[in-house]
Amino acid sequence: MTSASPEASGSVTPAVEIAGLTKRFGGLTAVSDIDIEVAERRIHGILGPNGAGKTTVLNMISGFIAPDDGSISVFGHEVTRIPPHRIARHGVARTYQNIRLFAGMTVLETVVAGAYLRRSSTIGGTLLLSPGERRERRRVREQAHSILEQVGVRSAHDELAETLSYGDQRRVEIARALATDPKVLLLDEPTAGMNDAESHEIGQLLLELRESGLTLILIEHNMRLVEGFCESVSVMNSGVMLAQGTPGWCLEQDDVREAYFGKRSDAARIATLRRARRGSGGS
Amino acid sequence: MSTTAWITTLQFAGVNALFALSVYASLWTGVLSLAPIFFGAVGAFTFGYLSAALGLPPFLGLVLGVVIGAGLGVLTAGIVIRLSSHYLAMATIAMVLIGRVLIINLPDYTGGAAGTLVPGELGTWLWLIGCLAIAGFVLSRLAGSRFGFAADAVREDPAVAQTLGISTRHIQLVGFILSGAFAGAAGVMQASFLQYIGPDTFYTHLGFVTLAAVVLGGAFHWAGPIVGALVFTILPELLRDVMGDYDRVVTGVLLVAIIIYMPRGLVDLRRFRLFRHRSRGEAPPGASASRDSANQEVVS
Amino acid sequence: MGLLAQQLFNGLAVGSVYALFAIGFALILARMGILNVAHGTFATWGALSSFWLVVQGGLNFWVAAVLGVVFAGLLGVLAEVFAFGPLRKRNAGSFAPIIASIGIWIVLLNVAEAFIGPTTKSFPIDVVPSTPMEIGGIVMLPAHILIVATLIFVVTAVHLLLSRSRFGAAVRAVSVDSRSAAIVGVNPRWTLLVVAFMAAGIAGIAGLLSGLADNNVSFGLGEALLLKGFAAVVVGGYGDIRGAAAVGVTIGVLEVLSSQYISSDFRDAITFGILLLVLVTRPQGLFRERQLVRA
Repeated sequence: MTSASPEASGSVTPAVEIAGLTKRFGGLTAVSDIDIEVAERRIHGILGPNGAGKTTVLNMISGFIAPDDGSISVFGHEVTRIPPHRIARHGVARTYQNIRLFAGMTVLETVVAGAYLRRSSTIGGTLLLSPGERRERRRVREQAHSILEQVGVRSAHDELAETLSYGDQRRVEIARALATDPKVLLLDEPTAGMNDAESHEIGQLLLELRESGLTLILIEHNMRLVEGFCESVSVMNSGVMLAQGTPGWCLEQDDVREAYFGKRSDAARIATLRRARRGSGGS
Repeated sequence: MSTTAWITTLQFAGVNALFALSVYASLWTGVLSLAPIFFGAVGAFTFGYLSAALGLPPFLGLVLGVVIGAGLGVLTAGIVIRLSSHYLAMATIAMVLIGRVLIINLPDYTGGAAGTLVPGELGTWLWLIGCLAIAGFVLSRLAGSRFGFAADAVREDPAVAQTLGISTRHIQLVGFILSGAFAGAAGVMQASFLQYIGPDTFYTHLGFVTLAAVVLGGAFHWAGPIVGALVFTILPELLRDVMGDYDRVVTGVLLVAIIIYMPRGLVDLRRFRLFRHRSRGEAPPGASASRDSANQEVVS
Repeated sequence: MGLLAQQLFNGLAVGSVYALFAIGFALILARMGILNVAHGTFATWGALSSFWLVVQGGLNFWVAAVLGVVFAGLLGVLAEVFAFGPLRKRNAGSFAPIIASIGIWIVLLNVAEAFIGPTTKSFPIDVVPSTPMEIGGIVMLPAHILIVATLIFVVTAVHLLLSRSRFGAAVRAVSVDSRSAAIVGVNPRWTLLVVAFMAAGIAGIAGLLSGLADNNVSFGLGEALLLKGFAAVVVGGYGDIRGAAAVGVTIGVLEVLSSQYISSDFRDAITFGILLLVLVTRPQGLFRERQLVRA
């Protein structure tokens, strides 16, 4: 990615700052008074059982849903309640839990379609056969090829995207999001349906992207990926924030265990058992 | 059919193709609109009135038709673009129904129920092919452009398109302008070939034929509507000998059958690509995953 | 004052036909998620078939009316079985049902024209009593009283059926999520067929009464109703049939009053004006709808 931010240390503006975010659907409060702050060039995970409101938070950041309360800002720009395409222009891109590729497009076309913000040609220029527009077409295709290689899509780039393997479809979605030249990338369960080896590759990709200057927020169920690659996590349950901090610390919290494993007493017992086993294991 | 009958039929196929390209221009941006019939009517009646009142040269009339159509496209877009897809489609059908009432109730300008005569200088192959060539050129150039990919994205999944920084309303506005410009030209051409226009010239039947042409030919490539218009203008003529008055019924039955069994039409790159994929001998593992979501409308 | 009351009643009669038409239109939109532009032709066929049974078949008007309405309802069932059902099964997008309904419109319109010919016909004079009655200083034609009474009956019956009965609960369940509805023992296919029959049948009633009131039975009868019905649904919403019905009646009253007090040229302009105003100012309709889930 080209936008490796030159800002050195001491940057005070977080990449994404969410304050008091609340969303109600009818009588149900899907997201209640959530605060999340993600510094630039971080990989932040959002965890929680199904129905915790994680995707709703992501949908509010990318502007699909307007929050009832609270604010979201990206690099200091308030983006609450502005339309999704303008949020995208502030450098926010995303992928989807249920893969949403464009029907009928090839892999390459999908990524080229994502490169709208990297292009500046006009309809007039296109119709008047301007040389600049031709150069732009070539440039965008080349960029699309290199993004696809970066994210590790193995299939031929002229294949219909919807015929790819599950893992490659997720990679094409990431490539399409990267084609917008984002600063913040939101990933909704990027490794769903992948095996351990594939998930690990995605983890490596996340690190690479962070190195190139991106800030990443991902919803993830794969604990190994979270513990291995996320620097910080937020754990949600029933729309409420349970814990925030390092993955290791968060997963030790009783609230978190209860949300994942059931009753508090059970959770406590499991925790004790684990500690005891670790103790007796010794080595 | 006699040779002259064939020539006439082919000329109307050409005009229908122009109307079909106009419907296609909106569909490309995810908008089902029959407004082109209304745009065409306004273009044609303005052309007829000004030719009679001012002796306007026909070429200027054609240019004026394009400009008026494009202007109406902007106006219509301003009113209907915020509507959900159901209401939007219905609102444009309402425009066609309202158009006929306006024509009947403005006899000073339109000739009312009796209609009006228009000059036929433009009713030649040269002008028709010229118009079609320009429309085809515009659409084919736009197909691989920044706008073209944005339009594809908006049609396939407007919510995802927005997260790529694409303003759906902007893209759909451009679609309406293109649609209006093509329809304005189509209206003037239709009037020039017929040399007479009345309240029923630009009414539901033309809308039906146009839409059927787009659906049969395919709304996913600009060549589709042209192929569809040829088929749907020639087929009823051939059937008329066999079917008598019921030739139009065939149009309706075919429309239902096509939308169920071949929803992407005759000219469909996706089918070609799927075929190529299968012939490469690979199974499509995740093929069904993206289809369901592609059809969902997301609250924005 | 007497004139105003008289015109209000005339408007009520005109508007009741629009309201009846709008009810069926709204029903299909709300419960099946389909914008059915062929709805106008169901109305046409309700009128045409009754007319044919009276004139050619020599049947009693009331028997012919019932048969005509049933026939219109069956056309709705055919549309569901051969077009909307298959599309639903294929999970086609939101445009496909609209395009299919345009196909049905073409078929039914052209068969209607071939069936009855291009000219306008009318029911024999005395199929319903034509002697005006005077009630409270207002002169009422029996046909008009019949129309208003029918509207009141249909609105009440459909509303009660949908909101109070087991069937209504089944319809709501299917329109929200047919798979879950099937799990709790509702047969989605059967339920949708009944809704399709009801909606098209009510359109048939509207068409029949329209033909009776205007003494005008023609193949284009439904087209005029389509526009008014659409306006009523846009303004009144489709979630609750009472909204669409109320707006349908209002449009009729405004039409009659405007041609009495302003100019008859404005009659059609009223509907278009209301439609345009609402589309521009309140694109979601006057009353908030729940978002269409099944598109």
